[in-house]
Amino acid sequence: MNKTFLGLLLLSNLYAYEKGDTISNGIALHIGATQEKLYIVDFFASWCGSCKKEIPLISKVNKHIDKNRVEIIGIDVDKRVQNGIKFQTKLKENNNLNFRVINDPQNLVISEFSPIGMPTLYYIKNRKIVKIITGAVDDIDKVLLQDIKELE
Amino acid sequence: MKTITLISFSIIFFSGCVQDVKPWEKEILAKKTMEDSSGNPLGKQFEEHIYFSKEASKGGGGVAGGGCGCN
Amino acid sequence: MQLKISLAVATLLSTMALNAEDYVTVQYLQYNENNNRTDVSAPSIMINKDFGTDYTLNAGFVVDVVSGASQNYYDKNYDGTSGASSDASSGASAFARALDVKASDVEYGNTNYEDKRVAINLLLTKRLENRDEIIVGINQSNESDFYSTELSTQYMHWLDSSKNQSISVGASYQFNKILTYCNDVGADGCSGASEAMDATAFNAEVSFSQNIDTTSDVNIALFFSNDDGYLDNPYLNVIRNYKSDGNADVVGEKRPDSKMAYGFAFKYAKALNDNFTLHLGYRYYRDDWSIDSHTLDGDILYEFGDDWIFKVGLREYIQTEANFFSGYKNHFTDEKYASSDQRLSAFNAMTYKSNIDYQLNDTLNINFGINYYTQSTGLDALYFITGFTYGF
Repeated sequence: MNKTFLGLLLLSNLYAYEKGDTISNGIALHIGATQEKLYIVDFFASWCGSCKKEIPLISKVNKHIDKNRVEIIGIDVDKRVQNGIKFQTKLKENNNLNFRVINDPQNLVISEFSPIGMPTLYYIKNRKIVKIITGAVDDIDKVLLQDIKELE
Repeated sequence: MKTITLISFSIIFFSGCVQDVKPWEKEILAKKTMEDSSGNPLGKQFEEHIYFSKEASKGGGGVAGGGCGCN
Repeated sequence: MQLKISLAVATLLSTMALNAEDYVTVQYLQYNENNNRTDVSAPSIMINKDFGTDYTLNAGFVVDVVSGASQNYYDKNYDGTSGASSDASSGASAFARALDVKASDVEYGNTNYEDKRVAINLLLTKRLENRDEIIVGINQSNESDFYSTELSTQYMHWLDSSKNQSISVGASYQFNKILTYCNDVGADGCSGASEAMDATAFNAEVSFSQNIDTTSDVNIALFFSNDDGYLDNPYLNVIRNYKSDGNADVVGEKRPDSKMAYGFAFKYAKALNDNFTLHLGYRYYRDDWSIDSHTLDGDILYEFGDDWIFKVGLREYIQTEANFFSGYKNHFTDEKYASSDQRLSAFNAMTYKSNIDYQLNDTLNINFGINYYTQSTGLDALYFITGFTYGF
């Protein structure tokens, strides 16, 4: 982890992000959400059963989006990085994970967002949070495609 | 009345001395080894019915266990 | 029926994991008692399947094959005139009853039986938008002389937005039909056709669960039950009016036609470190038959590597006797209620538990457990539970 960004994270206000909030510069730089496109940030972990079911469907969506306009970013919050990497590797082997993942073993990124459940999806445009989906959702792929159509 | 008091006390007591565990901090709590049945609910129910058949007590393990002509 | 152990298929109302996962589990129980008493072989299967994010169906099926003998008073001179069968070599039939039996002909020992029991169980969970859960269940259990239908329901409510606290309220109602024989006893033994008797059982529980910190949680439950109707064991006998130099009556036992019970249970789980997890439990039970009991349970689980879990545990149980129990043949005369069923006596019991779990691959887990149960009544039992669980 880039120490400058870590420092920025630590200095930034640590509070729960809600719809309408603007994410800090530190976070935006750290997760690479600085361009003028719609970012969908997915917080997940290897021990989260609903996350396991959702990731393949999100990857399915990722195949059909214009990556110049929409980007999906995964944040793996496994405290043991090796568990997270093993989990991601397995998903990739089965073609069930095809979006960029950032490991957050110290839980600094997720602490700033502070979602009320797992998994949680944050839609971010111009550093502003435009939608949050918390918890398991039926047909998340269809929901995502519809949301992208409306928000991009 | 005593029941309500006991439950209310438990809620208040535990609310006061417990940690607010965040959703992303639940890795250990989600482990199979933390489950009451240790991941084998059928095995646990076998055992509970052995005790139900050989002892005079019941209860405390959930409400549904099915009937049996065993005690 | 009651001479043997019958095992209902599992249900899951007591704990619901936050993330239900799809699996099928096949388990086999082999249970053997000492002194040629009860043997049980019980294969069972359970399937747990999510439908979308809001529904989970759990279905189970079990077959118990039970054989062996149970300890009972009987007239050793019984000649089978009641119509029920007797085994000359064991000399014992549960219906070896008669009035004015010679005292020297009154025996206490094994009476044979065998039976098969089939049970099916269904549980449906519905999750609401706030992730509260409603569970409804039905269980049907059939033996040759006992039929039981149970309906159950439970509601689980999250008390906080972080889902660290929840409260559950549940209830179940059983309708039982018991076939009885040998309903009239005379000097010549039993008479009277078989009769179907009814009984109901209502159980209710309220429980509170709390995550204490990132490594431990606790559950506290209060429970209540009320049984009504025919609660006797139709196979068990008592001795009345025993005169050691004269005669005695060997007749069926008689229990009250209602039983009300209540108690509380406490469960605690703590991950001590990366490898060791501790489970502790305590239950207190009390009923209006004067039975009080305490149960103390402790398990230690040890994880080695990524694939192995080894468990050892101890369970200690102690109960007082029912106020109409006596194990002595010269105790009962004309009391309304009388039973010599050892299960209603004062005793303590220990269970020594061990189990090993192996995760063969990503989807398949196998388990094998050996357990030893011993009572101060002289009953000992060894039982094995083994099987596999396939996640899909």
